[in-house]
Amino acid sequence: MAQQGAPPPELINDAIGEILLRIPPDSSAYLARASMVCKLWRRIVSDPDFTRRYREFHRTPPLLGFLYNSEGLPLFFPTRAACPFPQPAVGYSHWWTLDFRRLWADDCRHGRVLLRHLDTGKIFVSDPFTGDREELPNPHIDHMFGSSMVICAVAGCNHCNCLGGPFHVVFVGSYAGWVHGCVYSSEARAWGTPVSVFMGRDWFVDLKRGVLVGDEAYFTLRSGVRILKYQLEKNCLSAIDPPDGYGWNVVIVPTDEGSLGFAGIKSSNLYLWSRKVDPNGLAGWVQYRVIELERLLPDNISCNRADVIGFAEGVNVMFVKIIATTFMIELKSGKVRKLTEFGHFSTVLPFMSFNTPGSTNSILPLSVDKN
Amino acid sequence: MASAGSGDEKAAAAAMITLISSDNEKFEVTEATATLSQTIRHMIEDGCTDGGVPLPNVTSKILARVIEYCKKHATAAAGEEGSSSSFSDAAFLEVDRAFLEELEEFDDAFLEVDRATLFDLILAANYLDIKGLLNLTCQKVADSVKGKTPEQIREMYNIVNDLTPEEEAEIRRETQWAFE
Repeated sequence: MAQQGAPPPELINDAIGEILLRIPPDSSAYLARASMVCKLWRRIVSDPDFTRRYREFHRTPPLLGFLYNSEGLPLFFPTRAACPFPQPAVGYSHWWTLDFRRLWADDCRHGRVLLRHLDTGKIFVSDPFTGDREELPNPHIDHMFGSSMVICAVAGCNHCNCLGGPFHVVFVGSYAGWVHGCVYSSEARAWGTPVSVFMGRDWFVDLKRGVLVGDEAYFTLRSGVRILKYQLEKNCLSAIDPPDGYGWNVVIVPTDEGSLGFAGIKSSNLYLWSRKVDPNGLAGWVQYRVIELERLLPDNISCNRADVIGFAEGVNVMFVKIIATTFMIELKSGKVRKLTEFGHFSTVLPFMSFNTPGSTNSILPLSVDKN
Repeated sequence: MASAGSGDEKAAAAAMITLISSDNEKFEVTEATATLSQTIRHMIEDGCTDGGVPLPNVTSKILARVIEYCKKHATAAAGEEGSSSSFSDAAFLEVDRAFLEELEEFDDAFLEVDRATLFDLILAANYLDIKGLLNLTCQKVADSVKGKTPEQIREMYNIVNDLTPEEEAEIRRETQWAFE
């Protein structure tokens, strides 16, 4: 690339860095390949400064795939050809294991994965690329059912480079009609004061991913029949009703406008709702979009048994399952991709992360044994 | 470098700057054109432009292209400013859209250069700190790298592979997923 009478090498270094910076993250396999071109390219791509700049430049990390829980073993399903996780020695040809034995994945956010041990109830926060993990003390909350959420603890963070930084874990659990919640701080290395609300018998927290909207964490209760609202600053739990008539076939989502959203399937259509406050200060649901799945999905597939099973915020991708066939739908473009015909997922945890070569030890496994 | 839009003429009355290439060629440009470069903007602010601005890292061939880019984009910027008060919203949007389309066509045509020139433009844009030009040219190269093997990239840009076999094996191990 350099010519005779070439400019000083530092100028060339800068320029190569500027070029490599613009390789889109949705094809970061190309960035990995670029690191193999020559020593200079390798050095630039592996530089932590470059990694930081790369994330700041692109802002939204790519969707790499999703985790789902399968009998005490969270598995990773890649949504793109180049998958940064290793293939399991034994198993389906296109399924990838993270080797989290006896663990249940509750949440993925900003590159972190939150896991709970099925036997001990212990909670782990991990970075699946580096294998770094932190074990949290037990929250000591009575629960039969629970869910948890890992969130960045830095105020005003753009979440480009906060992996490895301080985090909070929100835990909610239900037992005998009570719903309890508490928040862990990685800086204090301790859980905060628990808070409880009596919901009545038959109410339990769903084993589904929660949603963070501003300072409020939301989880679904009793298969989506109600929504639990956890105001983190106030340390206050309450419940709100979702839009009527969807039963358990729902996911809660954050909307682009920064409010709580709701997606539910009824009569082969996917309905999107947003929670809005009217001029009188009353909060209510506003339906803002209907997607006719049978017109959108390929092969004249009948959608009367369609389930909505997950949502990837930031890239606005909805996951929909029809019996065992899973589709991802890009809500902005309406683009649809069939992912697999062999997946009985009830809920999926989309995993989005930058996987620049310099930022990873790149190869798992992350194993949590015994305990 | 003769053509100039109305915005350019207005600015021309205000101030001209002389840029001097590495091979000692002199280019007279308006301040509006020159200040698309943050490097030159700072020099003007510091009052260091009397007697011309020497640019020892930019040849006359490349500087001419860079100036062509800056003139076009400075004109577009001035046109936008000038039109904002004199059109209705709808008409303004129409003009705005036409501007953007024209600019996009210009940029596409501007990128029709050989790889060596493209790389020299990147070096110049980086050195002169011209954000738009840097983004345009770097994105073009980044797009050309997509979907290529390391060998193909080396061939395209005439890069010598100076990695040892051990280093290559190590990288391949670390990034195996990217090669499958």
